[in-house]
Amino acid sequence: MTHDPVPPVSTPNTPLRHWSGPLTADLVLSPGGYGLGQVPDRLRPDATTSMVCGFCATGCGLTVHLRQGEAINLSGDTDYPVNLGMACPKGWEALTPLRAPDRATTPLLRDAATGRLEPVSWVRAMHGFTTRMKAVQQRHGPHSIAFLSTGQICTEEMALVGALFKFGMGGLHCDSNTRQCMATAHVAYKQSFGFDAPPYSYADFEESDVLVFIGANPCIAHPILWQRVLRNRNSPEIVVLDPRRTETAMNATQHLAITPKSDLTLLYGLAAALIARGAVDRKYVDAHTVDFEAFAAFVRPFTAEASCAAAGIAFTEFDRLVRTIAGGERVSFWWTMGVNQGHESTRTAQAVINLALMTGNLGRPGTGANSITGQCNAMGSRLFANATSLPGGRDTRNPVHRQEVAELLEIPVERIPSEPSLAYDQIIDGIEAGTIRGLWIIATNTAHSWIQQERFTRLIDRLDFLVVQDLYATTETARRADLVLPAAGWGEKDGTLINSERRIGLVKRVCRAPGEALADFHIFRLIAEAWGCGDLFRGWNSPEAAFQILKKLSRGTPCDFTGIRDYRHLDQAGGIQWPFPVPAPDGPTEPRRERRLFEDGRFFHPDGKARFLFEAPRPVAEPTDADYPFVLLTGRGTSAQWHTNTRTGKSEVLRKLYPEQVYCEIHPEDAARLGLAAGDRLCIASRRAEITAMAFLTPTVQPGQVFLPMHYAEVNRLTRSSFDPYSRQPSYKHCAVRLERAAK
Amino acid sequence: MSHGPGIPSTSAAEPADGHGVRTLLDVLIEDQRRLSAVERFSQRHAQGSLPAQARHYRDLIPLSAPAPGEQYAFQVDLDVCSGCKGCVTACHSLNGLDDNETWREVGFLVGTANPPPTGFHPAPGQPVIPLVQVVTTACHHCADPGCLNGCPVLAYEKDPQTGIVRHLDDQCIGCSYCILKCPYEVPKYSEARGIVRKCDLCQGRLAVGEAPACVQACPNEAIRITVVRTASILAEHRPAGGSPSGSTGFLPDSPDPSITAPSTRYVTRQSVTDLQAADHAVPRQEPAHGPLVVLLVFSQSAAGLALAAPAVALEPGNAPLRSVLGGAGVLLLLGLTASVLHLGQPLKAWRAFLGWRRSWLSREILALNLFAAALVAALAVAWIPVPAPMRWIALGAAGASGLLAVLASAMVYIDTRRPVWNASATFLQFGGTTLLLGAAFTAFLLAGVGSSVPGIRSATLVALIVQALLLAWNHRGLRRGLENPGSSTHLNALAQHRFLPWIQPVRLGLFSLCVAAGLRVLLGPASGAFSGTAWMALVALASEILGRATFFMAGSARRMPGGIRP
Repeated sequence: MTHDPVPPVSTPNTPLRHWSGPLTADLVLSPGGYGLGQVPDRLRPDATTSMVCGFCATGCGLTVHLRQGEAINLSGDTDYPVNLGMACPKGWEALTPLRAPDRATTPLLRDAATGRLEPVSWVRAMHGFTTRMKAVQQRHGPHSIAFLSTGQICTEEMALVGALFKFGMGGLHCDSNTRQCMATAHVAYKQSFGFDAPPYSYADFEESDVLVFIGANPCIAHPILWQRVLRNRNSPEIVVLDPRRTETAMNATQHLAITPKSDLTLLYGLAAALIARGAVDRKYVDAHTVDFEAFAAFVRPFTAEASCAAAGIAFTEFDRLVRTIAGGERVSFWWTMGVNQGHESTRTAQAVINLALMTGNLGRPGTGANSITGQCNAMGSRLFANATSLPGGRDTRNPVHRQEVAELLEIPVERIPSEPSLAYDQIIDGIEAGTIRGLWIIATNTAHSWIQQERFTRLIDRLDFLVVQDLYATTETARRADLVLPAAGWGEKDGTLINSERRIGLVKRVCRAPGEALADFHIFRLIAEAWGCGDLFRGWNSPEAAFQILKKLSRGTPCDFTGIRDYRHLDQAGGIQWPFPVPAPDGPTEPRRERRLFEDGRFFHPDGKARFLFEAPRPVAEPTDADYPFVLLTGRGTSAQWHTNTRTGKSEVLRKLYPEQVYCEIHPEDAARLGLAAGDRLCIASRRAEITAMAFLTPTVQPGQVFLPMHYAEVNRLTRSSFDPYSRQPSYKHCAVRLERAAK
Repeated sequence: MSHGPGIPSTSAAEPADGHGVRTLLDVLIEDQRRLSAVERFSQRHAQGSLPAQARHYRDLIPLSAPAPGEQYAFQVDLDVCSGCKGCVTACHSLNGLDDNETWREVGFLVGTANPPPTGFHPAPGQPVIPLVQVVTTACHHCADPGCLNGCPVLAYEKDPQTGIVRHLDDQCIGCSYCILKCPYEVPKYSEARGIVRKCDLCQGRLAVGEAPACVQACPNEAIRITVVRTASILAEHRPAGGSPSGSTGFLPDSPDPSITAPSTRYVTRQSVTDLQAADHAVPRQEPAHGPLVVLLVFSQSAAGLALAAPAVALEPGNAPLRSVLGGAGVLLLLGLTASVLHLGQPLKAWRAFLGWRRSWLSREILALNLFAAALVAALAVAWIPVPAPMRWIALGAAGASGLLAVLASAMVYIDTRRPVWNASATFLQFGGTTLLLGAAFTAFLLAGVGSSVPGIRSATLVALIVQALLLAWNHRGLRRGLENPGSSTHLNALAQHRFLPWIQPVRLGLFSLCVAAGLRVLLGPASGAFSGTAWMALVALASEILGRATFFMAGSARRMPGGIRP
């Protein structure tokens, strides 16, 4: 190989001083080619390829540096329309967790005699899986097995496991960890728009003149989306509604530090004030929505005074926000987990949607009621996981939809259950009631992440059979399994992910999975074969074949992407947003790079109109009282941590970027009252459990509130099971706790 | 056989591990081993040679190279940094650093600040707003770099064209002194390589018109490279006649920029001067540096013995002088051996004299070697009969060079400008060790050769008095540091209090043992002198080793603002 590394300095060595040598050579850079600029000489690629990141729903394109087909490094993809060459720490370190020494490399089966997980062959693992799951079904009925999946695997895999479980294995109850993050947005959109359809593209961040972030902290949770906000050249008003003065709030022009869970009341108050100001876009409302009059009547009692009192803000702050929204030409509303993880989250999300609808801020550049999604493929899960709805957003209860699915998948329609599945929390209730006896957990870490954690970890013991399919046998959940199935991860398999702006992006095999770890897709095929229903899924013989099946399933639905030819088309286009139906013969064959929905004002309800949905606010499940006087907020800690840290904990570099042990943000005044100094240990007790954490004194949390990052396993021991009645999403953002200084 | 609804008609009793599973498994495992990207997907950049990212960073780097008298510098816009830390990981990946190696760090400043003049609207009645300011930091490519000035082997150079402070990896001996000399602790020691490495401002990239990794990777364009006049940096941080220290023009709650004149400029429209580092009040425990402890304590003992040698020479016979000088030689040899072993590249240690013009470490090494040579000469005159003046000159030279070595050792630490290692404290501690152990070992070595009782008793008395004074002074300093949060050594006292609470009681215990042994020598029969002095020397040595380990372990200085830590 010939190339010309750029010597750092051309000074020749002397006997006394060495400017070059083997140690210096370690850091020499040389032109990497492929548009990369200089790269470390020892990591010079012989090819590059682009794929989407597998952490969050931003869906950044990453340029993977390859040598002999294998990934040796990566950088942000400049040409990808999402991230323009940038990446957050997780993306930069995406390859590192794959090389972790504790990867599961063979199936592990719990030995009845020793009680330990022992390596077994795949054949034996499949035998164990099928015989024990079938035994559970025979004793307790076909619906006594369930699976909990994830927003972290490819759409093809989600679709296959959903089809396998429901149509092949005869199961019914299944859900995914997307219940913990996006169920609310899913239900809210479905009810309001007639389909789960986030309407925006990321270009809207750049085109707004007012951006309102509600319970969203993109600076930390979606740093690359914040990049798009900073590219906005309209000097926009940036408004943040959040109890904490988050990184995003600090970069905003208005921050309303609202009382936790006062959001619904405040949003109704804003609607009332906007109506009173005459800021309603009557033409839009009349043409494209229904039920506005009832909504207007409903919000009338939500006076500015009452809203401000509930939210703990000054009238001037409220009034300024009303005037900002009323005066904005292009107002966009953005929400994330602060809204989704609440006890009345669906109505709260819809209160956001209502504001956009009534002010006509939909379907135009820089507008929208926009849910920023959490996981890399939450959007794929929402469309194709086959849990709450049939593939393609179809309704389980609708016989026409069942017939369509049966025909498209070429399976007998009797195999398609007509009842809906239980939700995540109801499956766990089922374990307690003894109706769920076999549980299969795929790429999620319930024993860490589920609300009021100890209830779940206690209930695990009641299961007859627990299977965990994961990259690592060391997660809190995998350690409790009867059978561990070793999965290949992102970068070790092919498939597609759908990001927050509905962009379907590609992942590729650029690393070899360790040992006998298999792609989830392969594991599902193997299970189908072992179960004896392999014939039903003969057409699913590769992820790309499955993608063609998904295309068929999407035809005629709002998410129709039949115009995408194949994986290569996705690769060349830099991802393609749905919808993208087969182009008209005279139309353009390629999609525009950034597209939004509802430009024609037509929504997906049969009448083409959006709905105003609303309901009286309810008190939180566990208000503070004399015994538990503090509100506990939980959420994302740093941009270097992801969920339960199973992957981000494997990178030494990422570990340097967040505190090793759990810390608690507390206001200095509260700390002073408790006699706490920075770095002291603090004891936090709820009615469920008690933990200790390191005190971090910061005025960015309000007095009377504390914040714990969700990435530390002990945090969800404190949280309290409470769910939104429509989305069944857990309310992680509010419970009552007591604090005291811990003994040294 | 009956099945539930939807259950496929496979016999559940029959093991499912039939031929079908095995065949499929073989296919799947074979498939899993293949990599798909290259064979299946075209490469969009196959012909590209110009960096694609250049279009985004073109405005973030200077159009032309620095003119004479100018240098490159980082400029960080605090107002747009959102704390994503992408800069840290990009630097790591694009420079091919080791798994645990990072050249950028991120910390926080916390507190309240005045709202910025434009943009943000504070709530009424809120004159100040809560603020957590993220601070990203790498090498500051200082105008007067501490690392460069301290390096004993000239392994640093400030590039005359670019002003980049560059580390010569193949010149480095891995002494780590630069880590102590840099107020920002920028150089990072690599165990695997036995050298330090640091940010070179991606000089290779700048040389061909590309942006440094961190600049390329910041989604918010918060980091840019500017060209600044090196003299202006010096003038700003070291104003003539102005306040030499405590200048806050650089960044609040950070090391005093007058020490090295950092070129990085942090810009903000907010008033951040009242903010404190997230780890402002959190003490930090530093490594004990065992080999350096041994070097310092043993070489200072040897110096103490050498200083006592002229007095010992007055004792009758050759044995006492030979014993004391021999003891000094052995102790110095042990100390020097330990010091070489602590180097990452001991075979390159011979280069250590190169930096003598600027580096106190280089000077210390020269002084120690001079001391060793003088001791050899003194030992020679103790054995070989020479004229009396020559004998006194040799002894005087040994004592003087020993003292010089102690002074040079102290200057190595004083020159770091750490408040806790200020001149009086360091001279007092090192001088104290020299006197205490010099006296204690002299007493022991005299007793070992059955020398005269008055000499032994004098040395013992000196040792006890010195040790009592040292401990009292030490205790007072610790108490003052603890009680006064504004003290420059508060965190050091806190570190000792939190991490090493046993040190003071143990040293006090050792002191009582010393007193007991000493009293036996002073008041007891002459026959007990040997065991008494042996005990005293041993216990005093242990106490001083603990003292010197504390010197390092509780010797931290304020660094750049850090993160949340216990």
